Amino acid sequence: MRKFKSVINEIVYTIDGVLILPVLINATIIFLVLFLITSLLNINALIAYVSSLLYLIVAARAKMKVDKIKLVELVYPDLNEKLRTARDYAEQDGELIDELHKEVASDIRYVESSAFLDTRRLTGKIGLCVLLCFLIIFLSSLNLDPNPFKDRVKDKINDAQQFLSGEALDKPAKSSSITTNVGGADIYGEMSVAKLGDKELDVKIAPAPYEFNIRNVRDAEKQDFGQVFPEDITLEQAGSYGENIPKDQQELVKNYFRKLTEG
Amino acid sequence: MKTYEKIFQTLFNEMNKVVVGQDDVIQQVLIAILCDGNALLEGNPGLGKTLTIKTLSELMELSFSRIQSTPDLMPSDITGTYIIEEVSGKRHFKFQQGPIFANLVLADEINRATPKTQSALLEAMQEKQVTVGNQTFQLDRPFFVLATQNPIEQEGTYPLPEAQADRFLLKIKLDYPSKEDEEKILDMYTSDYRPPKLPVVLNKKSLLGLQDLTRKVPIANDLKKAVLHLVQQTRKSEGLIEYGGSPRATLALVLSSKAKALMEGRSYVSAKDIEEMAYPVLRHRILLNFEAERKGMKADDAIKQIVDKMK
Repeated sequence: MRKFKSVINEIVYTIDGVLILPVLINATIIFLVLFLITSLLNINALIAYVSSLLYLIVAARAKMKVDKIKLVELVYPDLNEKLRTARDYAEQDGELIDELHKEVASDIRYVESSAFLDTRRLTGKIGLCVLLCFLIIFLSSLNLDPNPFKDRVKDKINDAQQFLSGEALDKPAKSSSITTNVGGADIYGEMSVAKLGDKELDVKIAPAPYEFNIRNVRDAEKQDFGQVFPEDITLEQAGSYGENIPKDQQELVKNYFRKLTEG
Repeated sequence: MKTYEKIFQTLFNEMNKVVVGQDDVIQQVLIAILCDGNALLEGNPGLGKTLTIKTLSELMELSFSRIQSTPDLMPSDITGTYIIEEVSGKRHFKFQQGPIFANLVLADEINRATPKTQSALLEAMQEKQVTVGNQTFQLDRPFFVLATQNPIEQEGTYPLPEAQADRFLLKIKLDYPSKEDEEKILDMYTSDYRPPKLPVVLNKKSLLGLQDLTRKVPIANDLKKAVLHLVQQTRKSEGLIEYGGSPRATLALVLSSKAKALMEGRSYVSAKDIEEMAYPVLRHRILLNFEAERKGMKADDAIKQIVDKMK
């Protein structure tokens, strides 16, 4: 009864579909959990995609290798040995073989796909997927600082480095506002930069004369800056002052100071 | 398949009218007949061996003969011989068929016959033909030999060598009947009970058809592997068995399992068939080592250990 081969194929395909469903749900759960973790730690979400895809491939292959006929016999003991014998003789004919095929084809009608699914567990997993989705959406809507832990870890590492190098550990109070935390440093710079040092300044104030002769008023003469620049005034870059503004935020800082001076 | 199950059930029912409490023996004898093999029966005297095979021959419309083995039994006493016959004043040799020329042959106490006589019987069993002088005579089909061995009297006997015992498909053990069965036998055979005229349940042609059908019973591939593994384990159990089953044992186990499935109205062999048939198929084909014999183990114990390990 060569038609029996199609019966066997149908059983195998149906069971394949049933076995793949829990694997897909598990892969989804793995993806959602890893996505949540990578979002919180500001790590590349590619890890979530790759991990869930790997799991899907490995688990699906393992499920495909399962002997579907033995699985059906396990769930339906009445078909024990009968089904697998019919499968082994699927492409043969004969009085007894035809009899066996007819018997099995009749018994197979009572086999249901739902018998191979643990519906309680599956429902639980689907519920978990929905919960994770809502959690991710909720956390995204709160616009939380995505780097709370990462920043703390980074600060700790910096403190340790400075301690080891002997530098001062005074730090400005940490502001929670995103606008004062650009590039991880205070916009006003380090407090120590505000000091002028320990030297005394000898300042003489000489009042400028206010009388002028109108006959001497004339247009200013253009002079070469290098000739009139006093020789005793020099310029040095402040050694202790270095703003650590990231390049992509320097424009923002420039605009800010410009607005301060304008207004 | 239900038809075949009904036929065998009817056979059992008719047998039970004459033979009481030997259903297992009857089943195994029928299995041996369906497999076109022969059986070795071991049991104490007076347990109904002759009655069983004689009743079976009546139910299947087969000819029956009995050979009582003695130390002076000659091969020609089994196979037959040429006799001089005079017809119309002229004398010529005519072959007189021996008791082996029957469909069902009971060779009683085969271990009492000489090895030469045993060989003549075994050759007929194997080849289904008899050679006398320079002529060969084919035996009628179906041909079945039920050889018996008396386990009690060992003096003056010639136990069958293992190589010869291997030619028997099954070794059937005959036990005493239960108390209820013995009471029934007592009531039947000590009163004015007359055995009824038994109907013919299976004729020769049907039996030959069933023998062909037995070989066609399907068996799953993993069960075939299980049979192979089981027989191979009898060769590898060094702590228990000195001499394991041959490939003939593998064939016998598969065939007998198929016959059992057919008798039970199934169109497939189950693992239970193989497990149950392992004992009659293997018990005369394995030789226990000294260590196992010292512990008082029997062949069935060794087979049980191997079967249990495989589960």
